[in-house]
Amino acid sequence: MKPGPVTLRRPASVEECLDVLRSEREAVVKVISGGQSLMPLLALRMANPDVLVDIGRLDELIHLEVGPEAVTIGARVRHHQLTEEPLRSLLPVLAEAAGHIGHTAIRNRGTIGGSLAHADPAAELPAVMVLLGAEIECRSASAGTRLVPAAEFFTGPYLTTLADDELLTAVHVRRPGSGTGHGFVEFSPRHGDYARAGALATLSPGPGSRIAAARLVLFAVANRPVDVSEHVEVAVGARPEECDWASIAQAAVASLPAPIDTDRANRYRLALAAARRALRHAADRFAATRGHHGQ
Amino acid sequence: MDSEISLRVNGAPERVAVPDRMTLADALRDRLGRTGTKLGCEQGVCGACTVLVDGATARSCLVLAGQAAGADVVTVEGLADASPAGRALQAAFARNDALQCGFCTPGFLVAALELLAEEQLDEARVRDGLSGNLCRCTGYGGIVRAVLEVHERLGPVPLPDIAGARSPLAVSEQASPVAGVVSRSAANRVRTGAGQEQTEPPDTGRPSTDAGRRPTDPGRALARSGAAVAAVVACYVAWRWWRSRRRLRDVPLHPPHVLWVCVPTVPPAQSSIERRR
Amino acid sequence: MAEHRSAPAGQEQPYVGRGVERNDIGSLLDGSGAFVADLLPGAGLHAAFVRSSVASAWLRGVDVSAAATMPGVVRVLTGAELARHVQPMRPPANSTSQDRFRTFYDLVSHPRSVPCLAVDEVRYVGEPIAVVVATDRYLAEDAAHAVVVDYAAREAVTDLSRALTAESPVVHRDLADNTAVRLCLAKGELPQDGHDLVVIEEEFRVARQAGLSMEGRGVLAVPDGERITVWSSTQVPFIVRQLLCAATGWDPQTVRVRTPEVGGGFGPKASVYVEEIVVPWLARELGEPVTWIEDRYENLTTATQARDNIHRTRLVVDRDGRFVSWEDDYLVDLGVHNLWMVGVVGNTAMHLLGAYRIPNVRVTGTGVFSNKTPTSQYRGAGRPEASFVLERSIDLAAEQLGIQPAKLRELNILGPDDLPHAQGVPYRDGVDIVYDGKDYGRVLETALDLVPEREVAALRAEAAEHERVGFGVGVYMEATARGPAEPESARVCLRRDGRLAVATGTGPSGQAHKTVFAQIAADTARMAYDDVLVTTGDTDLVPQGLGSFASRGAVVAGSAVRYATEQVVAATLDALRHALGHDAVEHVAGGFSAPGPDRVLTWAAAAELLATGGLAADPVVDQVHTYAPPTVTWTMGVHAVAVAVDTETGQVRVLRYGVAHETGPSINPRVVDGQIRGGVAQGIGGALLEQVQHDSAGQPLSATLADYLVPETSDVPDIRLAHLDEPSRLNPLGIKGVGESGIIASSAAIAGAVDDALAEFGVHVTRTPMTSDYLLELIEEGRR
Repeated sequence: MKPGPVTLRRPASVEECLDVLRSEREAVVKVISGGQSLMPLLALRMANPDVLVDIGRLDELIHLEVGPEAVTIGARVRHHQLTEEPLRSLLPVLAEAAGHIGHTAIRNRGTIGGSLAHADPAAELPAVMVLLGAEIECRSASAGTRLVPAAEFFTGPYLTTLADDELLTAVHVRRPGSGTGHGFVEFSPRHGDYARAGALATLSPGPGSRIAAARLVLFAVANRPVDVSEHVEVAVGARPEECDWASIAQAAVASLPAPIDTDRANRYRLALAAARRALRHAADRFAATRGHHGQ
Repeated sequence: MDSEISLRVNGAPERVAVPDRMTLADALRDRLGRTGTKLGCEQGVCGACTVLVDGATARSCLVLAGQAAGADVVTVEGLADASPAGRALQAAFARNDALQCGFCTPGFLVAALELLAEEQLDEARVRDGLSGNLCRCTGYGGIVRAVLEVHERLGPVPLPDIAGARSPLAVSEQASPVAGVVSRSAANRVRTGAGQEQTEPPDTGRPSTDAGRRPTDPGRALARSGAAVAAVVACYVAWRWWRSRRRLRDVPLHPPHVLWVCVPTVPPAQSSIERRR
Repeated sequence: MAEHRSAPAGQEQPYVGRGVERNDIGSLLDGSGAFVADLLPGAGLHAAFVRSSVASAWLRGVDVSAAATMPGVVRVLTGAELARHVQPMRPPANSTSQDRFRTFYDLVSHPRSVPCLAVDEVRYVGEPIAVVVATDRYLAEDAAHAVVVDYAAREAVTDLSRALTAESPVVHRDLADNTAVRLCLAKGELPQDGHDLVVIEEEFRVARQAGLSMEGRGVLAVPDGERITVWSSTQVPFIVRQLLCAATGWDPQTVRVRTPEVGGGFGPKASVYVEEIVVPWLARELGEPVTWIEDRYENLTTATQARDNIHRTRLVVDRDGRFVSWEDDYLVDLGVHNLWMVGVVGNTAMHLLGAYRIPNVRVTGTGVFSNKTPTSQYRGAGRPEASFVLERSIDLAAEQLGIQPAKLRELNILGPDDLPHAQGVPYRDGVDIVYDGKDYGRVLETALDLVPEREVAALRAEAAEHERVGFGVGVYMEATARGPAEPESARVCLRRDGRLAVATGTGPSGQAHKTVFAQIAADTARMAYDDVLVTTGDTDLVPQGLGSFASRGAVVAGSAVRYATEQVVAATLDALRHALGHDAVEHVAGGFSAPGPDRVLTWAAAAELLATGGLAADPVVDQVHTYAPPTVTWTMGVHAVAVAVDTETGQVRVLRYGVAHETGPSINPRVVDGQIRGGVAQGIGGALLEQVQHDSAGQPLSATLADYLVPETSDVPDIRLAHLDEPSRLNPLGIKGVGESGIIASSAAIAGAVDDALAEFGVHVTRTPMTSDYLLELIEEGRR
């Protein structure tokens, strides 16, 4: 089980990388970052690119910018860094989700950009990006930089709007408002496996300890993360303890297309439990945060 | 294509020619004679090939040798010199019957060395931290005991931080060009390249605090249903691509994980919801 | 048989019975230990196989022209070419069962021969069709991908429940249907149904599993003049030599099979594979070393798999809770071949007799051919299946009777008055089954104490809102170390430096044979443990043997070591008496006493004296003993387990696990504990996670370790053990095998605990593995 023949390119800068991507347009090219998803596919010869462009030397993609309202995370920031300070405090839902990716050695190498570009429907980070309404920064030599909303970036299983010559360079994420509670729940057969189903929720407080905004995203139940926030909007204006989270979760999962097979039906069952628990966790944290501030 | 790479292995500088496609594991074993690193799956699941790359564990089957150029690599052969806990860990493994056949042991030792750097360790944390390494002989109990025993005796034993692999992410407090204005059209225009200028704010799907609902836009919904068709086609194309790409000795291979995503059921964003309206 | 045990003399403390440090793990801890892939890294030639991508097809053509000219390629070999030189592989000699067994069980078994490479048809996905030899594995794989195979696909046999119907295609066209093995076991009379009887009828399924070891298989063949050395990651070096020579016609004297470090065996490595014939053949033809290392995809499609049963059972119990009769008609999917003739089908039948008083039994077992990877022995080898269906039936009967499952077992389990217990039925080795135990009721009681009721109650109290806690027990029997047709040899030499060199033909894979054999030899010779050097798995060193399987290594080879060492002591004593001219020389701790005040000859001094005094220079004494036990000796045990089931997700967490067993005394308690704990971990995998799956066309769906799930660190709790010793009278060490104890009753016990946890939903588990999907469906059914 060895990778097929391939040429490895290791550009030293983003500019050089973009040039390589432009110049290799005739070939099948894959960008490799941490390689934690791509390498197994190469070994199985399920992916047989002609050229691998390793961005491991592009230290300029390892950065974190924190502004008053938003955070920008460079594409090569590794999963374990997402779970640590300062991101753990800045974006706790991202940190919690990233902690569920694979195992320690995987999180040491895997990068946020790699995970998003790989767009595995059962992966955690694409769902977090949809939840947080992130914008994904894509750059190419031909078209410069564009920002794609996460909800539009993921178009299907392992499919994104990233063009052949484009490099995912960063993500921009709005910081959650003070007092926002989050919930992340995924079910997998074993620790570290891809999720069989998962849910993420955030509840943001407004005046009078009432919910001002509520978000819910399901993943591993369809070909890409599914934003079902629509069904949580009934909670807006209410206090968390007044909400019937079980019914809300039920409605959210019921909105998914009819299951096509027993596997999907089972995933929906798990998604229901995940959604319910994620919402409750978010409600608990929302409450806890509020309590902490003595409101 | 072959490239010549330099790296350090267990402290010794090495220079070796490797094919571009060669994994770090194969380079260590076949080109550099470090056969202590085992290959248990070559798919990044079993953890037997775990080594330290710049002071952090990595699965050497999931790293190309070329990607490790310039890196500092520690294998099981260098364990005792890489950390003061190395020898103690080996002895504790022997004492606690943490191995039987010994094939998974190198990966466990390396993974455990990283775990021993942590301030606090309890059984749950050790089990969690080692969950990426599979052992089929022991039932894991001895392994967990061995790690806890060493930690209890030596306290946390940090690994040398090489190339800043373990240092926290540096934060730039200066707002980035878009920080704070993410998703606002002005920023998008500034950052969008020629020919791609967007004229409407990208829809992040996040209800804004003032309204909480997006206006219904029939034109937009229609565009989405077109996109739905496109997505179905794209999924089918992707599926065909996968099928044509998997050439594992020409053997069809269907990890269920891959299989289930190959049948598209959810067209683009919120379309299912919009359909229901 | 205490008189056979090493007698401690004065301050001398025997090594047997102590948890001495293993003498063979230093090299496994520092990375210097060599597994087969480590013997010739980056050198020699490397083979990659072209394997079938379809489950059943005629081969219209195999075009190797493109592959043959690719970079680094040295040789491409097809099945048609190889068939001109090499015979198909036949079943091993010891797979033939004894006449008494054949008659009693009314045995039908169709032996199959296995083509070394497919010639005109392929019959499972993964079957080898051609092989490429190149200068490295990457290049060999490139060329293997370039071999073009033209298939004419046929309908495949993939559904065990339909394989014996008239409509099913037939896997082997020389046979009328897909029956591979059929046997019947009957004792007593089946009762007529009556009002006073509880009848439990059920259908059970046990999933196909992989006997996954962390190291796959692998072969390195090194030609050396007239001879060839074959290194293989196998449990059975002698059977490898036997089948290799039978297929190639080579003289066994020219073939040396050796095992390097073996990274786990668990049964799949106890079968011989065609790669162990093809690779040596190529090495000899090319005159160069050739390595083939099984990768994980090959491992999960071509290494033998296991279980895969359907059982239809009927347990009849009277209103007082006494077992009246027990019937089972079961199918075992053997895949495409019949590697062991009776093998696991027979093991299941014999172990269905259980640890209870069951006067009337009728069992019919059928091995069925299919277009899937061959199944064969994997730890337990037919025993876990038997335990699962019998124990499940007992749980269901207990529910009907309204009594605790443990209580119903207590009523029926064999006690001190029943044991030893003759079943009146022969074992596979032709000898009538006698359970040589003491008190199985005591074992049940002990197991229940390992996970006591009050602890389970506390767990119930602590459980989360959506979790339910349950408790279950599973009872098992384990026949270990078949006799008398399966002997092992040991060779023990006194070296000139006074140390003992011990060699056996067994091929260990983590069971610490070097340690336990050194303990036995050291006690027998009354010398220091460190002065015994053990070599295993080398056909050149001992005259005959088989290997490590069926919980036999310690019993059979260990006993041979014991006797061969006694022979060395006797021969040394004789020679010393002769050399010193005194009859008064005695064997004492550390060596020999000689006439004269306080004169003790150490082993080293004795060896030196004899070496210079006329005996052979080195080794000074060389003795061989070949031993076979008269028949199996029985280990019995009980698993007790507490689980938590999440009623919203169907996920099971194993919270507490205890195993109590009645076996012989331990040679090394640490090694025994390790065997059981490791077995339990695999048992938990089989109960909850592990499942080899195929689609309806026979395509494997679980061919990576991301799809075939085995337990991780966080899935296995601490495992509590209780040992109740009852020495065996069937071997000089008084021991019994334990290699499979940990796995046999795991599924039964966990299923009982899951049923208990989900009692409010009326859940009855009838299959393994108990995945979250399966349990969710049962829970939902219960809610409706």
